[in-house]
Amino acid sequence: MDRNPTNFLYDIEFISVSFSYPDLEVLEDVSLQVKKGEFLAVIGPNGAGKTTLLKLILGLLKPTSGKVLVFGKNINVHPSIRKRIGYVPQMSKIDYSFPINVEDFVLTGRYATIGPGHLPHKYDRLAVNETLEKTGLQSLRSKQIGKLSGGQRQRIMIARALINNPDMLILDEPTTAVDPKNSESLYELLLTLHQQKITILTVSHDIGVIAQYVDAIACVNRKVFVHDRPEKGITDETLTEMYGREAAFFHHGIVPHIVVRKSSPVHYCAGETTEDDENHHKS
Amino acid sequence: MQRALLAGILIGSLCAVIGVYVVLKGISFMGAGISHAAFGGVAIGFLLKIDPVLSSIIFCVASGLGIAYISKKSRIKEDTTIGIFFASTMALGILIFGLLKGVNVDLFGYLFGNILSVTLNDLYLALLVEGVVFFFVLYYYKELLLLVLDQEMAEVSGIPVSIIYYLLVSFISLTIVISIKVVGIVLVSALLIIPSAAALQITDNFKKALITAIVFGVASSGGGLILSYFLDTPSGATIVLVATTIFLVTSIFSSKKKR
Repeated sequence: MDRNPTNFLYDIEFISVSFSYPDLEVLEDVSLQVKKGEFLAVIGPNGAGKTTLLKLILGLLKPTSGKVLVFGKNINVHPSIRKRIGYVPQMSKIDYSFPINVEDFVLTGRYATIGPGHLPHKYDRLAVNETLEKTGLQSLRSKQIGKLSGGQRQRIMIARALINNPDMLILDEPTTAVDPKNSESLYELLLTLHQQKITILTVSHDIGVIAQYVDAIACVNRKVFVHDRPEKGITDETLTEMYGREAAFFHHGIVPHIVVRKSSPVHYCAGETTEDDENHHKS
Repeated sequence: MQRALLAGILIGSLCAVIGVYVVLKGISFMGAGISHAAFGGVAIGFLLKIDPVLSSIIFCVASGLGIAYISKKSRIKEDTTIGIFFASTMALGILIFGLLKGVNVDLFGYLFGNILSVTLNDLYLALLVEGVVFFFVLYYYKELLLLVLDQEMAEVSGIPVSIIYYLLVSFISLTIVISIKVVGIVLVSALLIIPSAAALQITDNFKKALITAIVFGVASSGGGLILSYFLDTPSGATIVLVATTIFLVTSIFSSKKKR
């Protein structure tokens, strides 16, 4: 079953998109193309416009200028596109004390299609079963969501995004508050979905890990730079290439930092450079 | 007494249902803000010589929507917006009552509730609001659930979040206005929050939480009214204290369950 008409080239396309709040330019003249089935990681420091980029794709924000096309269309003109996108918001946006179990939580992904005034159908329940099976959550189905571990909480978010069999999956920092072992199994799950030709775009902080899985990396810092997947993951050499001459990869704490010398005319990516880091790096 | 009891049951169940959304969405302070706006609404009613219930409905719904709109569109945080509305509408009421020196108004009744002031029309109005709110909550059951659970997800999936939220705020305002005669401006937000918070302590299913909240709400208002009748205590305060007792019991129960 091919649900994609082939009269458009890219699943996501930004055509010289700018976005600004009254006193702050967030994205400037961004052009970006994501092919069908591509797995793209979006990285960049906090406040660089990653979330804005996602919100533009999801139609929650409208560009100040330029065009955002999803499956070749403007999502605000063609709301039916929404059904084909699975969205995984940041975990921190959910109140896990909410009185709902895993099964019903996953079902909320179908609420918009069921429509107001209607009860979920038998086939909506079937879709829940199928999705729980696919994500390995069957045994937890009647657990209240607050009683789950970090990795399991992340998995139910992905299950909810997958329930409509989307053609595209968009994730906002899916591995925050998930331990390394669980984030690895999360990326393995994404890889499986990638092999099923689902287009995946994920905002990430673990640039070191994500590089092994993705086709390309988009660096966001007001502007967007897309880099093909480096063969051996992200190394100092590739970073130097990406950021300019004086950059080096530096593991520090939980978030890998990129240390950039102040003098070099480069854009910063994935973690802010602080005085402290710089000194640390020199020593 | 029969009329009072009926009003109590209607209001208790209504506040409980609306309260579940208020508590889960974390907008308890909005309830307090809107109820204090009712004081301004009542004063305007006396000033313009129209039914104070009608003027408070208009004034409270407008204040509720105003709070929701301003917090959405401007940079002012919601609790700041509410703080401003809270005090200024109350001040407006006090100012108007100050100007209307000659008018004999039962201010104490409006502030702390006076069950004897409930008229047959109030009862009909409560019944109407109850019907509309229950229809709203059932018709938009899924949409409201997702709105309080994960608003961004609701927006992304194409649910008309703004419209439903503004409707919810309007119904919060209506619920507050019709509850004022029984529990009073000062205590109405307690009736909105306490039975629902108690229900949420001991349930982990949304439907059960709604039903349990209704049971607690009706038990508080009904039980409180009967107690106040026999003990000859103020109705609003008695109702709120019964609700608080229920809350304390559920707290002990839920902390035992967790252990």
